[in-house]
Amino acid sequence: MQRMNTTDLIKGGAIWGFIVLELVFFSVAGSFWSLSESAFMDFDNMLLLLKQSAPIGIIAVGMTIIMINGNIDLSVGATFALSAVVMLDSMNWPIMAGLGDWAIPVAWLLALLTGAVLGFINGIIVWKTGVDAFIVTLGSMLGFRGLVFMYNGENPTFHLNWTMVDIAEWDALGVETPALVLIAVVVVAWLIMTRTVHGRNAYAIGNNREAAVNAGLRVGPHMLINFVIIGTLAALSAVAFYSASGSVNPNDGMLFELWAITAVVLGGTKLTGGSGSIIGTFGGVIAIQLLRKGLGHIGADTETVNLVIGSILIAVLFLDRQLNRKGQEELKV
Amino acid sequence: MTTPLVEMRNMSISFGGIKAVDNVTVDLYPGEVVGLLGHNGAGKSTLIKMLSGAYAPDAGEIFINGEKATITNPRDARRYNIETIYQTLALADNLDAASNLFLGRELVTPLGLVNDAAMESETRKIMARLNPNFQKFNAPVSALSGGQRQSVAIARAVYFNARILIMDEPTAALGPHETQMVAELIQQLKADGIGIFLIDHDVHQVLDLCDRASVMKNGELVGTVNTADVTDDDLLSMIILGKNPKQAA
Repeated sequence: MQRMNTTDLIKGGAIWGFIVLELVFFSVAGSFWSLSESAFMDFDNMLLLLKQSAPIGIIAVGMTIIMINGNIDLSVGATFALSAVVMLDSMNWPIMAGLGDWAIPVAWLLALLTGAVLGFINGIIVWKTGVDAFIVTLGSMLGFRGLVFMYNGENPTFHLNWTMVDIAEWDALGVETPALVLIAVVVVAWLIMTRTVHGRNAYAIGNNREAAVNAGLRVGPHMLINFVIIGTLAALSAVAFYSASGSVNPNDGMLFELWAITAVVLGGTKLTGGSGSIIGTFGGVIAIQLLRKGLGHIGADTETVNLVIGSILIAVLFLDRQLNRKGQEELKV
Repeated sequence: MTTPLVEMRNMSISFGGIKAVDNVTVDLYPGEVVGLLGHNGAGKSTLIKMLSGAYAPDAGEIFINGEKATITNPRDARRYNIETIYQTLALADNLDAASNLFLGRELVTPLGLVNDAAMESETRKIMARLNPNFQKFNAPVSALSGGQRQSVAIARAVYFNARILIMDEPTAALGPHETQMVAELIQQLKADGIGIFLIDHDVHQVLDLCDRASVMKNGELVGTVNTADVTDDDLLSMIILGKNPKQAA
């Protein structure tokens, strides 16, 4: 892997600079406008932020892998919801009642399996038909969401198990389970993308699929694996979130795919594939959550938050374009 | 006579009713350079893609060292030590030279992780032989010049002990000095007993570098000649008129 040059460092560090900027801004602005007494950069507040980042964050990590690979997955929100429905509903099955608390890991496994199967469906269609992943997953987004509604109509699916809630709210030094899962996913995915053959090949395929085929890479199966990974991660996200809440609405997870893509793009991954980083995505996830919390902290409402995030996304991409163009001019000189 | 390294017999392939390659037979001996000449669309690249595994032929047989070979994808071709240097070079621009050289055949540590240090040191070794001026080991190949990129593509073929090398217009994007470098390299590879198919437009270059030349037109083989026996005019008329003047006379 190439070592980072100055431009890369600026681009890779930009998201962290942005996060620092947000922290400073909201701390200062908060002292004027905030209705609450507590400081914004409170340690507990930051831990809460990490936990709140988890559902989108875990999915965004999978999205990074998919996008580096040159694909996209719009069905993650629906996969998230369907996995949650399977997890909570399965715990109501008579067969699970006999298992006692062992029903919990079984339900989790069923949820993860659901995500993996849905990802497999996406991957096999992309591989075998050659249809663009955007179209395939747009279709499966609608289809999977349809399955969610077929399962239980408009009604929420719920199951409350206090042991499961305890596990979901367990913490190590104040870091709760969902945040721990997010951190673990980030570390493992980072290792995969930077240290394994699979990760290296993902970058190559995303950059030049033809070259990858000529080099003898099995491009189809490779992409299939990545779709299974993102499906499983969407399910893992559902497991981490719904184990605590115990109730899922059929509309849950809508727009998650777009939030995940926003975080990934903010973190420096390109839509065209071949470049990006897991750590950058982690930064993107944190930045978005900070923005939401911060704007809430100074009293802005949800609509304003979305407007600001949207504007920042466009501004970031514009800046990135300028930086890249500068890089190319330097090369020509 | 020795067994040919490669023999492609009666190869045919059609795309939607158009016969891109029609009943073409060519062969290649160890230590020999065979030029493939023809206009754009004459079928020379298509012919060679059946050898490199990019296309599956409709008809015809391929023999490697006299034995029938089944090549349905690029991995099969690699098993027969067939390496291809594509005109487009087929590099992943975002990766560095070492990652490109080992693409699809990465060196790994005992734990199964990519071994960047080993790949870089191997790349340095082979580059010292092929292009001693090459220094940009840590830059993505998009930052390299045409000649440097060509070196990476050639290094990839040479490193994995190609016995049959396919070069698709290897000097098309190169300056005079770099073209000379490729010519020297071809001589070196010949001396090692590697057989080379050289696809080219340039008649003079083919006369300089190749032992024999096969000329194609409209998907058919016009003829195969020893380059020592023909002039550039002979080759040109084969390309343009589709017949060998010597035979016609």
